[in-house]
Amino acid sequence: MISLSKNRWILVATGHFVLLFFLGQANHYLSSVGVQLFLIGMLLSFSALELSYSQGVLSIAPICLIIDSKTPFPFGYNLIACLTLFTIAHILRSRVRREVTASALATSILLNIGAFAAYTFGAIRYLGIESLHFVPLSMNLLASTLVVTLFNRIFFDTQTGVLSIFGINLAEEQREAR
Amino acid sequence: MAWLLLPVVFKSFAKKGFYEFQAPVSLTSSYVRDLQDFWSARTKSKNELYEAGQSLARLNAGYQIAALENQTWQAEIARLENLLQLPSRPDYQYEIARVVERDFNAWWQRIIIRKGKDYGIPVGAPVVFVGGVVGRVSEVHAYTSVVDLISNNHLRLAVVIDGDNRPMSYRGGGSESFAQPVGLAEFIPTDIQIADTENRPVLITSGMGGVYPAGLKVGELRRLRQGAGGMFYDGEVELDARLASLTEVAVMIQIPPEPEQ
Amino acid sequence: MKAEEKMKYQGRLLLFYGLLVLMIGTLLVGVGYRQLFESDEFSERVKVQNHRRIVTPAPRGNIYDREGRLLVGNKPKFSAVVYLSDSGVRSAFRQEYRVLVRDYRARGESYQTGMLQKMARANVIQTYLDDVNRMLGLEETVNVEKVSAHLNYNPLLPFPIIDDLTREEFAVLLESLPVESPVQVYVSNQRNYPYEATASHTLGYVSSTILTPDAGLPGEDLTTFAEKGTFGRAGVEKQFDEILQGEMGTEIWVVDPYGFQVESKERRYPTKGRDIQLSLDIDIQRAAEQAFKYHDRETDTMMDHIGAAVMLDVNTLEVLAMVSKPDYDLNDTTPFISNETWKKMNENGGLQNRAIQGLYPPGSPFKLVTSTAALKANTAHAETMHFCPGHFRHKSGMIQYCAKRSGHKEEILWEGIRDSCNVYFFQTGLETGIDNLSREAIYMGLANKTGIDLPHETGRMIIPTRDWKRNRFKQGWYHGDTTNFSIGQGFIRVTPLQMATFAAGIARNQIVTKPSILRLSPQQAAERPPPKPTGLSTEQHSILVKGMIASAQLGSSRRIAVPGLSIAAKTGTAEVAKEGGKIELAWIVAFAPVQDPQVALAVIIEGQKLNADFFGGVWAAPIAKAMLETHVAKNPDLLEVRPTASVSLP
Repeated sequence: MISLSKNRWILVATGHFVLLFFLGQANHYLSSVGVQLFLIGMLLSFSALELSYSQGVLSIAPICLIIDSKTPFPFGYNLIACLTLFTIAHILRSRVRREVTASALATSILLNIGAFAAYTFGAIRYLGIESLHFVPLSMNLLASTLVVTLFNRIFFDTQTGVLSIFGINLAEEQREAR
Repeated sequence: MAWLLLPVVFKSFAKKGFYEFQAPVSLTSSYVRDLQDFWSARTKSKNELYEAGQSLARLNAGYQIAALENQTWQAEIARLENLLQLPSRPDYQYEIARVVERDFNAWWQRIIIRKGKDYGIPVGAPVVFVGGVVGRVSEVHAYTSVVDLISNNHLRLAVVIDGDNRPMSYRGGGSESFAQPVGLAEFIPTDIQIADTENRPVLITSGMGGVYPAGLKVGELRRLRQGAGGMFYDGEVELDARLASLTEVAVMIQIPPEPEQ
Repeated sequence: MKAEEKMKYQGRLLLFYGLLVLMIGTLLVGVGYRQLFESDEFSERVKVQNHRRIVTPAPRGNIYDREGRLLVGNKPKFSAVVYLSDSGVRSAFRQEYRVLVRDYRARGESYQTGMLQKMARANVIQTYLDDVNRMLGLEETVNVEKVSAHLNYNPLLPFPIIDDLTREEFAVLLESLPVESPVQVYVSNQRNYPYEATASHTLGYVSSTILTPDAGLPGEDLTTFAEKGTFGRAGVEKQFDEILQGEMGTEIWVVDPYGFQVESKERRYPTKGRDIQLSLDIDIQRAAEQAFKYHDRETDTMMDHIGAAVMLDVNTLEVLAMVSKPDYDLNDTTPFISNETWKKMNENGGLQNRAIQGLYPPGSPFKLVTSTAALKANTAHAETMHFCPGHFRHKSGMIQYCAKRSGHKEEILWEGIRDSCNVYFFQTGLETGIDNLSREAIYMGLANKTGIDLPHETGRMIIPTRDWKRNRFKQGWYHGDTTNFSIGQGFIRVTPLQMATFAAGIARNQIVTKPSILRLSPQQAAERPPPKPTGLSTEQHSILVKGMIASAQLGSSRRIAVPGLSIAAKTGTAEVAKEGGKIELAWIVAFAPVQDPQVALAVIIEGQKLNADFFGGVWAAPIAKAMLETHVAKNPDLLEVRPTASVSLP
């Protein structure tokens, strides 16, 4: 029997995957109005702020590779970009008060913008700049930021709640660690 | 850095693995959507269904007549081709497939369809819908295929203006605001003008490039500007807005010609 | 160490430190100075060293006829090219080179680095070519030396692997080549002549060359790679080359130490040259050229007469048609003139534009000049009568004959013109005198270039005078010279364009100059140099016109007749000496309609058989007729049910 506490990344990754599934469904319907939601920053933010470095990496990597398998970028581009952002966030997390909702939200938004920039750079590098248009890019970023603002807390609470069902109390662990 | 050093075979295998791992989920969601449609149809009253059935029957009758006319034309074309000893044109088999997922963002535009290796879909096959060209199959998986839409920058095809026979180049130009896919046409002869904005020149496939059969609509030329070499125009192409909300497409699979007796 | 020694040692050390500080200080000051005050100069030097410029020619402007029909345009030439600066190509070069070196070493053979590099590059290009071959079903191979030369001299320009793709091949490559591949479809342009050989001399041709970049293009101080462009070599293409040429495009690239592109710094697209509209009417031009064809019985083939024809708008002096035969198919001159084509053009005399470069004795049409001179000198008037017994005997005893050996008997001036009676004009010429004749011909502009806006118009025309003959032959002027001159024979040489201009002058009773090959706007036409008066009264002028009308209706020019069109014409048959005898030249000049002249023309055909008759009325008149017919077909208002200008039967 594996210990879910030591392998909490499985639970977090599953949570991330479920979010991605719903996001995929939303984007399927939103495609006809030209809006595409992009919420990777939220996933990175949770893993970076709430898990240890190794657990965070393990929770992020499979999700990134799943996304990678569906993008036209070279396989691994998304993984490298996200792990870089995750690492930065993880290093800097000691400087923020993680239990404060606003800090989590700011981290999510910043990471989302970072990931969005990485995707835009990848599109310029691998797909050509000719097909990129400023208005839809900014519209998508704006919509995504709005959704992160609205759902970041719900996502964090849901993930934390699911972990607590399996006996993992992140808030208590953080207090003990301090 | 370590990732970059991994062998290509490993990456390719990993990509396939991760894709196939999540594929059933999106596939299931697509079936669920179909089920939703089914149940929403079941909620309709008998009268509504009866009327819908009647209008379908009328449509069917119309199509049957059109099909008969087409048969006559096809026979005539075949006779004339035979008379002129023209080489036979490639024949295609159509695989109608439901759209599982639409990935229509500001960076790329692609769809995942519900047919893959199981239906013999080949990589590179042209994909069409009622409004013309959709794109080309870029990846084929076990039960799904990925189709790059013609608004993607790396997709290029040889097109002509309807009623003209001079080939020109078309490349995807991404998606503009509100899901308006666009493209870029190059090598447009300078005698082409957009005089009437209501009746713009229509770009269709040339059939000369060997991938797409001739006559499929690609888009409409909406603006011209001086091309790089000064000898041609470049043109902005407006694609069918329905590309952003596709639900069903047809993959054209070339039937190899029968060996001569 | 003793204190004294220590002091000495420390002193030397201090000196050493001092020197070191001084040296470092000098270095720092030097570096600082260069950074602060000479940085611009150094950055400029770096720029020159690592920036390269590519200059691309602009497509030439189109040439249209007076009704806007395209006479000369551009057609795209599609090629498959490899971009050698592509990083993938360069790494493939290195990879292939390593493989070759390994193979040579494995076989224990010696090798030369340069040779292996050449081989490696050619092998790589061949692999790209093989891909294209497979797509197109071709079996092309790469020329090793060409690849090497291209890389040495034009590394920034794409290397063509297949030239002149068909439309189908172009389409196949568009769909089959990945967008990011170093192999791409490249488009250049070449001249296109939809009417092939028609008006070839007037339109002219272009040659390809590496052009000198336009002044004012950015990056003048940089090493420049220029693509081949074209420049006008003859005809309108040469005359209006500056207008047609357009503005070159330029790209400035940062290059790596090997000279390959790294980053594009600046790009300016070429601008197509301006279009020009000629005064030519391609319908009349084609009709005239078609009429130059005849069936040669000896070879049983259709041949072209040798000669020229010019039709002018009488009012604006615009050239409506200008034919010179033999000619050449302009499409054979593009993208370059092959040795074979050049040889053919040279051998059959096709390079000469006979309309403006051919010098001929004008023959009988010159009798109109003689008549004008006589009328102005009062040595002839409307009723001046001379007797033609069929020959003229000079005081010296020399006899010159009339075309009609039985003689025209008694004739007055207009009848002399109608019948082209040589004897009448021998006598008129002698009575008028050489000085008056020469002066009149010079006054009418026959001694000078017309000044048409076409290159290479000859200036070697001859209107003989006493002085001219004395200078040229160290001889005096004889009566025989005057009689010859008075019928357009002897020393006189003019071009067909001059004769057409002269005909327009007779039509207007004004001396007109400077025809135009460009279509003139009404304002431009109004700004033309004003014509000079001929000096003939209306009555005097009407005598000439009456003679010409009679010639067209009843006389030697009657084959020009176009039903419903009143025409004034004068044919002629001149002679020129050739090795082994003489050949005859068939002339006709004409204008129409007589009451309100719109067009004037001159046609000349060179006879090909030695000592054989070749009459203007027989050979030149049908060509003039074809031109007039085409003109009136487009301007039916010029036709009359019954021409009002006519003469009564004699």
